[in-house]
Amino acid sequence: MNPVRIGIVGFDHPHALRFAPMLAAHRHASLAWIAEDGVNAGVAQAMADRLGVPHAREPADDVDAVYIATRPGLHRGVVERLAPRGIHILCDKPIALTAEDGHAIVESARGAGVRLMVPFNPRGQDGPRAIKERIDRGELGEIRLVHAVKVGKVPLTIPGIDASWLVDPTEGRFGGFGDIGLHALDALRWLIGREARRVYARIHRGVRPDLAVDSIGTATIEWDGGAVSTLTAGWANPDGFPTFLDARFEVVGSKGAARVDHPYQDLRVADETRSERLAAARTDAVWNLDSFIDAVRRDVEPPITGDDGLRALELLLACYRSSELGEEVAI
Amino acid sequence: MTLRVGVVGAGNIFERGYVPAFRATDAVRVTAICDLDPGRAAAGAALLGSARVAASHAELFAFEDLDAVFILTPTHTHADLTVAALEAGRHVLCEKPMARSAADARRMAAAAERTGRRLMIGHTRRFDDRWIALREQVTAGRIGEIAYLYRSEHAFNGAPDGGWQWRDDQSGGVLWDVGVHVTELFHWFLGELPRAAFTKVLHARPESQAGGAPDAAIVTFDFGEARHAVLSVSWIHPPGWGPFYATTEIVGTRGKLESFDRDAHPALVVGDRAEFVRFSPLLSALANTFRAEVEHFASSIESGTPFVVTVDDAIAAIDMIEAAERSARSGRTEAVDS
Repeated sequence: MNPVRIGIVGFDHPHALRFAPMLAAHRHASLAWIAEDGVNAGVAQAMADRLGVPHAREPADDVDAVYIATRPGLHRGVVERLAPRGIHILCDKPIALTAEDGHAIVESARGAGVRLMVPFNPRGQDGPRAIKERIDRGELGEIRLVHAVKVGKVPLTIPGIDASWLVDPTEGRFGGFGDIGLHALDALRWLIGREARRVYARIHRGVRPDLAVDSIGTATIEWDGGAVSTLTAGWANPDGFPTFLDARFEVVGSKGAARVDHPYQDLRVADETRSERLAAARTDAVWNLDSFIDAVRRDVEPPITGDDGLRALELLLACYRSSELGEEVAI
Repeated sequence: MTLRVGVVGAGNIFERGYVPAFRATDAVRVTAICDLDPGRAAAGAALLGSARVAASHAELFAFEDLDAVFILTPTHTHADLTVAALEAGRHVLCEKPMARSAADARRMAAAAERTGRRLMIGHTRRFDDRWIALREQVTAGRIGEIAYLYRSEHAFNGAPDGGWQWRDDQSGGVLWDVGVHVTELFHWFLGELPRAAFTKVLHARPESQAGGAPDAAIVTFDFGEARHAVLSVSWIHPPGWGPFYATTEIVGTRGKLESFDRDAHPALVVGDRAEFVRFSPLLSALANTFRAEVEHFASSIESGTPFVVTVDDAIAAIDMIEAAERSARSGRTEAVDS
């Protein structure tokens, strides 16, 4: 079977820096081109040169699939242009900025009969996956409480890419809570295996009042079946924090509890001024790309669907609605 | 000088928290003890060697050789016992939660005011070196303005089915019994009351369903536009959860503070299975915490100086919990009254 020919549309999402070389080196995929015309055109050009692929201004339709790494407000236009041409879609998160656009994206892919996947990191991390397996085997009993923490550094510190749209109230729309928390909202849905019923959230700009968008928030969600979860997410890690990300999941069931404290295999490095833990292996990125490529090759539903991406977005929008209202809201 | 103390209530907190403290300090000497269960009172007296057993708290309050009374009984009895002890002319150290209601807590405060006796509530976190060290980092400005405060205390409650801790009217469950430690910590660290509380509680275990007291609670406190605090307490974690008992995270405009119990255990011992050596018989406090609390109580009375945790502080902690409880019942955010 031929490798899946994949183009990269846009180079705004920080994940693109990781995914591009992985796609180029993938055993079952080939990178066709990188199309980026915006602020990150220079970054895309350098990456294309490094990987020996063309840098295009516009996406072409000479591919089996695309990875969309534009800013999220542009996702819908790209999907509605490429899906009808039979091109499968890996669309980075958030799937869209509004539920309406998210629905349109899901319908566009469904109508065209192409595969649509949204990559979420915890789904591919070994710790959360180990917990999920035990939940599915019934080892924890009925899930009652889940505590999640997912905080990172302000993405402006990510070297090599202009991610300033993430702190722009119109381009990114969501701030730190949305940027980082969306991964965990999807993970909560996946771990608990139910849909959210009600949510209460407090989201604000307190950590980084200099930014125009929020930097931290906590959501308390009640799920079908009665489980309750908390999620604190945002850009709460100061630059000096030893890891970019601080992520934890604690799941309490009627028969047992499980906890993941840090999702990555690290190496430690220290110099005169600071100590860092660098993620030495990103199995989650490998898992997400493998899953998408496999779904396209075998023509099966990917493990994270467009619908999952849409549900996570709707949950996120409900968090913001609750925070603005100051009361719990129904999903 | 040694403060002569009468103990009311020879239960769990007496045995695990106070007895080791009494043995380790000469700041207080227990001269009398009573308990509704005379056998437990006698056993408590035997643990301490010198105390005589009183038949009732009224008899104990009337003993001559007594400067202060420690109320170590179930929460719903604190107010009446404290008021009676104060009116008998004794200083009082009363275990947390101060009372089962804010109204009762204020009745206790009024009695202390009226009688001119000293009243302290046993908020042990104030005497725990870990939280003192955290607070020092905050007050030194190390992390800037606090934007977010999280505190969890998660464990298995092994109290017997039908016991007072599972009775909503007597303890208020984990929300009151453990939650008040957390609200006191929030008030201590932030120096103000929140505007409002939103609460979710569970009644997950059969003991909780039978007694009506919640066994898990999550409260979000609204401290204004740019600050919130989250309390998470549970009695439904598995019995072996100990090493992960408490988590504290504080995020400020310039940095972040963390304290995890999993990092605090002095040793990991591995035989057929792995086991953390506990840092204290009571997971929630260091071994010397109760001793520090008792010595502070005695020395403040002797010198006439204020307690580090005042009656008003304890009332603030209760006001926060009462608002949280109202929210659990109404399903809406509730204002924190003071």
